[in-house]
Formats: sequence, structure tokens, C-alpha cells
Amino acid sequence: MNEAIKPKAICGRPVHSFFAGKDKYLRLQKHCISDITPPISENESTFILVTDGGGTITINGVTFPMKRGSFVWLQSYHTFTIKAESVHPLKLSVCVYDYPLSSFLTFHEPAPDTVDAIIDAPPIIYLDGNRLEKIEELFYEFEEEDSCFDPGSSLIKVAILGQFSNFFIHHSLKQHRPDCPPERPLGWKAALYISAHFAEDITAQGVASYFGSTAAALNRELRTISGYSFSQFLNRVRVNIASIALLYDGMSLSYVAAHSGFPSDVAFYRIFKKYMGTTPIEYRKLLLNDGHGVYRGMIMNTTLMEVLNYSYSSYSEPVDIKETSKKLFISESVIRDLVYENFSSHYKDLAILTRIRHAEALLLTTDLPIVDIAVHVGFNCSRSFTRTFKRIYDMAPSEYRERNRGGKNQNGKEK
Amino acid sequence: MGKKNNINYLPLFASSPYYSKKEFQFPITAVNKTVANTSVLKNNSGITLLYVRGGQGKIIINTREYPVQRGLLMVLGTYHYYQIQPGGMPLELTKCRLSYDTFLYMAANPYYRLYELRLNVDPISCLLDGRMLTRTELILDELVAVTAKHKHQGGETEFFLCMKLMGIMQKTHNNDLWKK
Repeated sequence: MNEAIKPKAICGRPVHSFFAGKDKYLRLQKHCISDITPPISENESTFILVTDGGGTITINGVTFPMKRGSFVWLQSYHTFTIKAESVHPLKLSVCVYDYPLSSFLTFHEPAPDTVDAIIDAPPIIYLDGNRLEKIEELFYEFEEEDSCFDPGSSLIKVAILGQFSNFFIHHSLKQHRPDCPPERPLGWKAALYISAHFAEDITAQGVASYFGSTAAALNRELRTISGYSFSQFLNRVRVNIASIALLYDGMSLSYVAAHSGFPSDVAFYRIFKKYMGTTPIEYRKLLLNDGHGVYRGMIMNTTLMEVLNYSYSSYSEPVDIKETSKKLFISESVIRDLVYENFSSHYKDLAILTRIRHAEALLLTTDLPIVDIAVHVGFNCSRSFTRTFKRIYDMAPSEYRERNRGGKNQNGKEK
Repeated sequence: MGKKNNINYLPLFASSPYYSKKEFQFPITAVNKTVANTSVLKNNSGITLLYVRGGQGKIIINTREYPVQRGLLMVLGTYHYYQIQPGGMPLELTKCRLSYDTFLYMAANPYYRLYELRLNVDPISCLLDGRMLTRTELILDELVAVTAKHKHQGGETEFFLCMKLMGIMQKTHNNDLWKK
């Protein structure tokens, strides 16, 4: 049965960094393709919107037509070739969506069947009318911010990428019919199977027998559509999954290795280095880029976020480092070092600052006695409050109240 | 979060609640409001984004008075006690509220700098005009509509829209109306 559908073979080895690459993050690219691209397989995922012209795109051996309004979301497990019609060259707008970012923008861990559906759903959707207008608007907004690389613009662009992926998943799943899937070549199906089951201990033999074929036939098919053998294909998927998890700095590398399906830590290091050119730790460092081009500031530190959130929202409880460490199950030295590293101040000062902010507001807006305010914002007695307040403002709380009320003291009449 | 009794050791996988996001909610809500009379003194938990769509008057934050006009976007923290006082005509406002950990998560975006977050005494504000004003109002319209559609439960769309607002804020807070 499977032999009936012949995949379209790629010509030549797949190339990387055609659309994607570190220097292209958060930039809008405009491409005009008048003939045919080499086969491309990227290490990032890419959004492509066709703005004009016509042609075809061959993804993992299956050919889809491309015209104005075609919106494609390509992943690292896709090998694709774009071919333009001879009369109308294809005009494309391209945005790169890197994998660490995608883990930031995924808010709910999707259920396994949703993952299967997302992987199985068509990688290209055809838009018209309102939906096309909506996506063009988003691309336009992205373009407006294109030449700015300050943190504010980055926030906007990241949000737009998030909207793209949301939009795509929503519409692609709508077109997806799991009950009567279109017949696809073996290589296409195997590629999807591998991308969904990377964490299991899978072999070419196992996957081939799942589809009622042999390992040799599977390897041949995969090579025909993507240019990679089974193990190369599987390793690429695993490396990209690992790079997603590398966004989180609290995650140990052996966890990342196990999570992405590598048999051992050593294999993880070796294979990661082979495919990415750097070790996982170097990769994490290289992601940071301060000053040149697109600013990329940080690796998400969830422990720090928990600490900040705790000190912000529980200011009236004891927030000394011992209590915090008990509450959050984080060791004291970790908290101390993290805060010092990021804010070059002590944890205590950070916690106290939140209290003082509340105290200021209460001093100005209410007539509460100082001792009540002190207790309300979490100090044990008015003495320690006054002492701390004096250290920051060089004046007693009552003096601060006197001087700053109503800006120019005009609020006295209203009270 | 996993219950771990031994506090001396970091749980093996400390980031799990954030990574799996099982306990992570994004309650972002936005509403349009018309304020005709002086409002009561209040503060909100988390972060509040206030945008003035029209009308005139002033806002009193921690007993300091600030003039407001169309195009003013401001961020208030939980320690800002505020009161809205319309002038000659009612003030048209859009109020968008988010929790502090949502705000932190937004700022922990890989293309951002977390240590730019500061606890300011004065609220951060910016006065928008031209294209920025149009864009902000479009985003806010969408945000209000989505909030109503999702029955104030919050969702990803709200998160992205709100993130755009924070981006606009970050880009434009230099033309601050209230800076001396």
C-alpha cells in the first residue's frame, strides 16, 4: 500500500542557515525566489508568509502549492525545497522562531494527543479574507519594529511571534482531520513518528515494523525525503528538543539529556557538539548577546523569579532569608548568590525595599500611627522600621510624611 | 510545587513548576471604564496598567497629583494608592490588571533584561502620540474584547497583547509627561 505513494526526492544535501540562524532572530526577512532553492533543513523553526507570486513547496517529500496568503510553519524535522513558477516569482516574508523562545511561549504543556495532532496537522495553511488581513497586520507590525533592537521592541516582536504560533496551531488543527488522514509516503509518516516519540528508546527496526516495512526501506525513504539517515534524523530532533530545555537555567544537564531521549550524558554532549558545533553549556552562553544586533539578555532563571515574586507579594510576612528558603525549598546560599549576581544587592535589601515602598504609600495616604504602619508592612516594632527608613531616606518616617504629603501639602484641606 | 522536607538541598528539578507550567495561570483582564466622579482611594494587587482614552482630570497617586490626558499610559504597582478625579468631563479609562508573577514571567523573556525591573516610588508613565497612540488603542480594544470573550479567565492572547503594551511602555517611557 505504502509503495503506491512515491515521495518527491530532494536533490543534493540539505543546507542550513538559509532562512534561520542566530543573526536572523527577531528580524523580518524578505525573500524573492524566482527559481528553486536548494533543499533546506534548519535548526530553528520558521514562519513563511507568501505575499505575492506562485509556486510549490516540497516538505518531507510531499508537494504543496504556494500562492498569496499561504502561511507555512516549518520545524527542524522538515526538509523543504521552494520552487517558484517561471512567470510569477515568489515573494516571501520570513520570521525565525528559535526553539528556546518557543518554550518560553508555550504556556500549557499540551496533552500527548494534542502534540500528535500538532505534528500531524498540515504544515501549510491557506488564508484569505479577514484571516489573511489579520496575519498581514501582524507582519506589518513586526516590520515597523524591525530596525529597533531595544528591549521594548523585542518584547513586541516576541509577542507577535507568539501570536503567529497561536494563530497557526488554531487554524492548522481546524483543517486537520485525524479520522481520515490523507495518504502520505512512508518517510513523511516516519518523520512525524520520530518527532513525536523522540524520548522513547526507538530504533529504525521498531519504527519500520510499526509501519509494516523494513529498516533498510525506512532508511532509504528518509534519505530520499530529508537527506538524513534514521539515526541522524533522530539525533537532530533530540538536539533541538534539548536546546528548548536549555532556556531554563535551573535545569540540570543530565535532566535535559534524559528529557530529550539521549541514552547517557556522554552521548548527549557528544551528539550535541556534533550537530550544534558547541557544547550545551557553550550554547547557553552563546545565546546571550549584549550589544551586537538583536539584544538577547537572559536565560530564564525560574528560581530567581520565585524569589522575587515571594518577596514582592509576601512583604508583610517574615521575609528574612531563612524563612524564604524554608518556604520556597531553596537553599539560603543559592538565594543570596542569585540576588547578588543579578541586582548587585543583598537579598535583605531587596525584601526591605518592597516593605519601604508600602510604608511610604501608607504614610502618605493614611493617618495611621507609625507603629501600625511598621507592623502592617512586616517590621517587628516601630524602632526597627524607623531605623531602616532612616538608612534609606536620611529622615524619620514622620518627617517624610510631613514633607511629602500631597506633593505640596494641599491635600490637608480635603482630609 | 513538590513538598520537600530537607531544605538544605535544592530539589533536583527546581524549575519544574515553571517549565511544565502546571500551576501557572495568566489571569490578565482588561476593562473599559468611565469615571464621572472622584473614585475611592484604592490599590490593586499585582500590576495595573492604566490608559487614558479621553476626557480630562487628574489622578492622585500616594497623595501626589498628576494631570492626565488622552494617550497617557501608566504602570501602577501594588504600593501605589490611587484615586481618579475627573475634571470638567468624565474620564474614559482602560484598566488592565495582571498578577505580579505574570509580569515577572513576561520580563523573563529571553530577549529582555530582568534586572531592569525596579520598584519605583513614582509610577512609570508615558504619553503616546501619532502611530504609537493608534497602535496602543487597537491593542487595548482587542484586549478588552478578548477579556470579555474569555469571561475574565485570562489566556494566551491576553498575555501576548499585554506583552505588546509593556513593550510600547518600555519604548516610550522617555517622553514622560510627569518627569520634572
